[in-house]
Amino acid sequence: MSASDYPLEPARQQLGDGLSLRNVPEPVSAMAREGISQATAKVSLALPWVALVLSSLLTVAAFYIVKSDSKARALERFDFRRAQIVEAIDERMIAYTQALRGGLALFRASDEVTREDWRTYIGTLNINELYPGIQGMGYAEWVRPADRAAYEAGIRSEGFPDFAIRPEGEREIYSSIVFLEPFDERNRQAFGYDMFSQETRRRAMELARDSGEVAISGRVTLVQEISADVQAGFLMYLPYYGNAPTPETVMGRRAASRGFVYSPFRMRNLMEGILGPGLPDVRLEIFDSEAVSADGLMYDSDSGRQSADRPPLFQRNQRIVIGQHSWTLRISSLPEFEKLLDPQKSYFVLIAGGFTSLLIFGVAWSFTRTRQRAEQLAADTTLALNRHSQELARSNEDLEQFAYVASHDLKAPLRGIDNLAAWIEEDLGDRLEGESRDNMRLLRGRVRRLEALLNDLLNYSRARRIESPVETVNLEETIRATWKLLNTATPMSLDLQLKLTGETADIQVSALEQVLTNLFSNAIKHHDRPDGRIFVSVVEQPESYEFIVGDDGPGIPPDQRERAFQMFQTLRPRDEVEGSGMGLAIIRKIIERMGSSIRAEDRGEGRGVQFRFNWPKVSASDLA
Amino acid sequence: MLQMQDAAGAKLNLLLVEDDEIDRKAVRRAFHRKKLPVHIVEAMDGQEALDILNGRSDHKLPPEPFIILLDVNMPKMGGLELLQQLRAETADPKIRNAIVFVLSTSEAARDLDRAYALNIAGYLLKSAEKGGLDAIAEMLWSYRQLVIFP
Repeated sequence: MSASDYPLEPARQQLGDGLSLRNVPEPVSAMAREGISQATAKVSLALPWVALVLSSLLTVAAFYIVKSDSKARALERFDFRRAQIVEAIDERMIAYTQALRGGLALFRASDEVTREDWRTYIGTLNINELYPGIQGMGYAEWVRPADRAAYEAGIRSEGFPDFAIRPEGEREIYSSIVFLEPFDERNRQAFGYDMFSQETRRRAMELARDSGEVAISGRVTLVQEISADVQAGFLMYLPYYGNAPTPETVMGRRAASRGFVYSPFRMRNLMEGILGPGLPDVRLEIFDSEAVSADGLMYDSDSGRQSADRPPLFQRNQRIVIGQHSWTLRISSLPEFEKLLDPQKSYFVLIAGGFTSLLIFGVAWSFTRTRQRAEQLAADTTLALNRHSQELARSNEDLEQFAYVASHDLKAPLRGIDNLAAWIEEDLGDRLEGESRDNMRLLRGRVRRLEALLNDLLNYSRARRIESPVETVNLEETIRATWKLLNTATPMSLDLQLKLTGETADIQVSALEQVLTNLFSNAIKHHDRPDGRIFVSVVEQPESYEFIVGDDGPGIPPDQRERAFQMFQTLRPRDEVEGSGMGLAIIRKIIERMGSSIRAEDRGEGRGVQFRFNWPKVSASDLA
Repeated sequence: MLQMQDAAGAKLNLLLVEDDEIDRKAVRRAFHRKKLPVHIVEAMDGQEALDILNGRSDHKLPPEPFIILLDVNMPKMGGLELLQQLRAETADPKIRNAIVFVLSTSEAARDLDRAYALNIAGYLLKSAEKGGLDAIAEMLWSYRQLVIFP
C-alpha cells in the first residue's frame, strides 16, 4: 500500500497507517518550505547581533548593579565610621568637661585653694594617663590694675622671683594664670599669662563668664608652644564665681566672676589621644568654624600624606558644638577605605561579561554562518539531496521512527499475502491436499511469525516514545490482572506466587504492565513443565519498587543472559518456540528509559531464572 | 465492478475508495462469501472518488442511496482530505450528506478524532479481529436495511 501526504501535517504522517518512505512531498510543499527557510535565515542572521546586544546590556546592567550595590554598602560603612569618630570626640570632650568641673568643685568646696592643693588634685586626676591630649588644667584669676603690683609681689614671694603678668602694659583688667598643672617646662611658659589680653581667648572667657557654662575658644597657638612642633590649640573655660551659687543674671555673673578653671588643648595630641595616631582609612579634618575654610583648619589626620591630588570617593561634613563653640568635621575616605569598596569586582563583572558577550556573539555568529552555508548548500542542491541531508542529520530517535514506519508499512503487504493465501485455501477447499496443503500451512505460519516480528519491532520502537501516565494503583491487583490476562490464553497454566510490600503505588502503570506482560509470556512460553510456577516479589524501597520476577523453568545459561537482551535474539529455534526475540530487548529499553536497569540472575534452586529490576516511584512533583 | 442482484431486499450500493487491490478484493469477497447483494463502484484514491462524485469521471456513481467506504491512507488524496472536501460548505448538499464509513488499519487517536470530526457514520478497522471484513459486510448490509438515508 502506498500512501500520500496529509497536506495538513506532513511531518507527523509517519504515524498514520502505512506511509512509505519512498513517498515524497509534493513539489508545492517543498517550495513553501524553501520560503520558510529564507525567512528563518533572515531571523538567524540577526541572531548573533541580538545576542550580542542583549548580553552586553545584561553585562552593563550587572556591572552597575554590582557597582552601585558595593558603593551603597561602602557608603553605609563610611557613615558608620563617621558616626564612630564623631561619637568618640563628643564623648571625650564631655569627659574633659567633667574633669574641669571637678577642678571647679575643688574651688567651690574650699575656702582657699593653694598651689599645693591644686597640684595634688591634678596629680590625682592623673591627666597624662587618663586624659590624653589635655595639656594641663589650670586656674586663671582676675587682677585689677590697682592690685597688680601687690599681686605680682605675692606670687614672687612664693618662690617665683621672675613672676609677672604678661604681656606687660596697662589694661583695664588682667587675668593671670596662677595655677597650671602639671607645672612642666611647657606649662611654665603660661604662668602669669593674661589670656584676657588676647582676642580669641577673651571671647571664650567672656562667653563662659556671662553664661556660667563651659566655653571653648577658637583656634589659638598656645603660649606653651615652645618647640618646632607647633600645633593648633584651643582652651576650655569654666567660670568660677566664688563659693556662692552661680548668680542668675548676666550682670550678676559678671560682678561675681572671680576667675576660670581652664584647660589648654593641643589639637593633634588631643585627637590622637582620642582616635589613636593617624586614621588609616579616613581623613579627619577639623575646622574652627561653622563651615569648611582653609584658614580655620585646626587638625588634619592625614596632613596630605595619602589624599594628595585625588578627590575622595566619600566625604561628609558634620558640625559639632562643644562648649558653645562650633567645629566642622570633614571626614573623607582614604584609599585604604576605598580599597574595601572592591571596584575590581564590578570591573571583573564588566570584563568577564564583555568577554562572555563576545563569546556568545562568536558562537552565534559561527553557528549562523555555518547554518547559512549549510542552507546555501542545501538550496543549491536538488530537493532529493536536501532531504537526504536532513535525513542524515536525524538521530537515534529517527531510527526508531524508521523501525516503526518500516514495520508498519511491511504489515500491509503481509496482510495482503495472508489474505491471498487464505483465499487460495478457501477457493481450492478440498482440492488442496498432500504437500501443497502442508506448504500452505507453513506459508501461513511464516506469515504469522513475520507479523509477530513486526508487531514486536513496532513495540520496540514505541518503547521509548509511548508516554505512560502516572496512576495510583494497587500493585497486587495490577500484577494479578496482568498475569490472568496472559495465563488463560495459553494451554499451559502456571501457578503465580506473589509476595509484596506496599499496597498502592504511584507509578507509570502501562509501561510496567508491558514489562510484566513480556516477562510473564516469556516464562510461560519457555516453561518445560505443566506444573510450573512463577514467582513475583515486590519490595518497596525509598524511591522505587524492587521487582523480582522468576520461574522454575529451564532458565538461561549464564553465558547466554546478556545475549538474551539483544534484539532478535532467541535462545531456541523459532520453529520450536515462536518468538521474535524482541521481548527482553523491549523490556530493557522500557526500564532503561525509567533510568533503571534489569538483570537476569540464577534463582538459586538449580532451575529457572529470575529478573531483577527497580521500578521508580514517581511523585507529582517529578512530572511538573 | 461487481454486481449482484437479490430480489428480496434493496441492494446495497457502495463507493469503495481504496488504493490497495487486495483490500478492494477482500471487501468484494466478504460480500460474496456472505452472499449479500452489493453494487460496488471503485475509486483508487480520493481524487478519483471526488471526480466520480462530481460526475467528472467515466465511472458512474452508484445508484442512490449509497454508502462510501473510505480508506485513510491513499496516494494523491487521502481519505481524510477527501472527507474535508465532501463536508466543505461549498460542496453539493447531496455529497455533503453522504454516509461515509472509514475503513483503515490506523488506530491512531489522531486519525479517529479527525475522521469523526468530519461526520462519519463509523470508523472500521481492517484487522482480522471481531470477524474481520465478513462482519463489516454484514453490518453494512444491516445498516442499509435499517437506516433511513438522507
